[in-house]
Amino acid sequence: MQTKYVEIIDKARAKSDSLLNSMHALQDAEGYLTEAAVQALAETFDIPVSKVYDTASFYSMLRFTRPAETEIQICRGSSCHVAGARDVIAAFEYILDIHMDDTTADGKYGLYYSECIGRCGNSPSILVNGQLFTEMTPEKVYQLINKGGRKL
Amino acid sequence: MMQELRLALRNAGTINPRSIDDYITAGGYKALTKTHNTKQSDLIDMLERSGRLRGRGGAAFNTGLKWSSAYQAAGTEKYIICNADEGEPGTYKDRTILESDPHTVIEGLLIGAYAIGASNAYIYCRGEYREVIRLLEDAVSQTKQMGYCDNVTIQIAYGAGSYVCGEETALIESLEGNRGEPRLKPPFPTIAGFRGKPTVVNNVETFAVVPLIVEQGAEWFQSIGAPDYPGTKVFSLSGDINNKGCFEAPTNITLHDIVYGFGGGISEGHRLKAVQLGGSSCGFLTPDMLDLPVDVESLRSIGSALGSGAVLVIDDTHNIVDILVGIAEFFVHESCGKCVPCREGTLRVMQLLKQLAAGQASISVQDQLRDLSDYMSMSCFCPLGQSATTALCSALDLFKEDFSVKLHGQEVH
Repeated sequence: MQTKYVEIIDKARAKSDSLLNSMHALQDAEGYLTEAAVQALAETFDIPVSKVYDTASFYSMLRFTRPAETEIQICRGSSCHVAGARDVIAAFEYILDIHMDDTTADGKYGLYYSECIGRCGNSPSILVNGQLFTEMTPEKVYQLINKGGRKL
Repeated sequence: MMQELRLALRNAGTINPRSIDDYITAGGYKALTKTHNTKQSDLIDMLERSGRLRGRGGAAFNTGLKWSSAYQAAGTEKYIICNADEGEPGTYKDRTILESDPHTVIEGLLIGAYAIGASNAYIYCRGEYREVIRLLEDAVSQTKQMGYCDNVTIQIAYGAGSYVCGEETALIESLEGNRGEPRLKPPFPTIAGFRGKPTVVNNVETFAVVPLIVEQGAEWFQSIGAPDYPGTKVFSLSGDINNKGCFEAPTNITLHDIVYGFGGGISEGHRLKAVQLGGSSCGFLTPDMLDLPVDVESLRSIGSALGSGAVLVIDDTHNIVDILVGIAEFFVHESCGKCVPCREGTLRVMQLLKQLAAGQASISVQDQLRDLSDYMSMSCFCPLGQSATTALCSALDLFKEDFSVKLHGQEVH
């Protein structure tokens, strides 16, 4: 087992013995749960590798593949829906030329849903690589993507 | 109009949430000290009988009853968990409470730990609330440094994006390192919960008011709000309303005061069409139902529920079917897949609603939807599936026109 994984897991376990906390810590370090990370979890928690996959695959925040460079998550809560999340989604799909749950061919942008992110007072809300953007409109979508250097 | 009354949010905006000194200066941790000179049974009795504090997470179960069940349960290894897995769409009250005053929740949790005799406490916070998690971890280490934790260990456990983990047995499964699938009840967690030991799970808002009840007494608490559901409730306003935000008021407040008082009504030129109270798992209310107080019993009388206190306001620019499609997609995604009626039922409901929204549904679609709802509410394993079509059923009753417009392929605005 690689020492970097041991260090990450030990640090997480010092705060809480919950398996999910260690999973988050490993994913934060590498962007996703690599095979080696899953192996390390199995060894430190003394559970089969299949059990690690069994648990992790249940949770939408945990993943086993490298995410897009810029991960765009759109809140699927009903407040955002009422406030026009559909239009925001349509704008992203148009400008990036992909559908939801997809990644652009160059791997730069990925478009996903997120759970209700609890910013219902400023809906529609989205997360871009974890950073919060609220009161989104199609115009703001264009500004956001253009700032990222992508030309229409 | 009814005034705002802040109990859970009493320190919001007036103290620095990062400073335990601020909380202590505002009278914090006095209740915990007082608790340690009170007999456990007296403390529980106060909450259970006279205080009648009911859970603020959605199910409105008597908090004292949970505590007394766990207190009386056999064994010495017991657990107490704060449910901060706030996932009900439209709800952001727990985030607001934790962001503005984490220590009141920690103090409530420590009082609960003392009451049931637990030496291990967890705060299960949803993974989406990264900032809240950091704030809580700091707050807990401050509490420890100041010696308030005594012999109780508090851990902050992270969720990872699962709505059903808000259900207490699914939350416990998740905390044990498993898939967040709900357990069969009974046994209830207070008898056999986390690691098979007696466990109390309470909501953030519930814990937040516990220190106040201990300090000011059960009679004081009982005198606020509706008799069967005393105290205050924190509401999260969203949707087509002028003032969006969280506010707290006594539980005998009417929906009318919430929408037109605190919410400032809806924007000019539009008409209020519906209010969805309690989140996506609850039904719709029409403008003529708004004069009712929001306490549990009053709402039950019209077959509604307060749920988490989410207030989603919908104006006349929306066809309710379009909103139902969004809700149906949500439940398809969140169904854990453990039981067939929910896994398949949520999918079929979504397919039928999407056909309807696109004007391609068959004339019998409403009957099909009702049948599906009946099967699901009767046979789904847990409250997620049982309530996945609550909004749909209430819409079928209340907004027949919207369905008929979609059926006949013409939009009205």
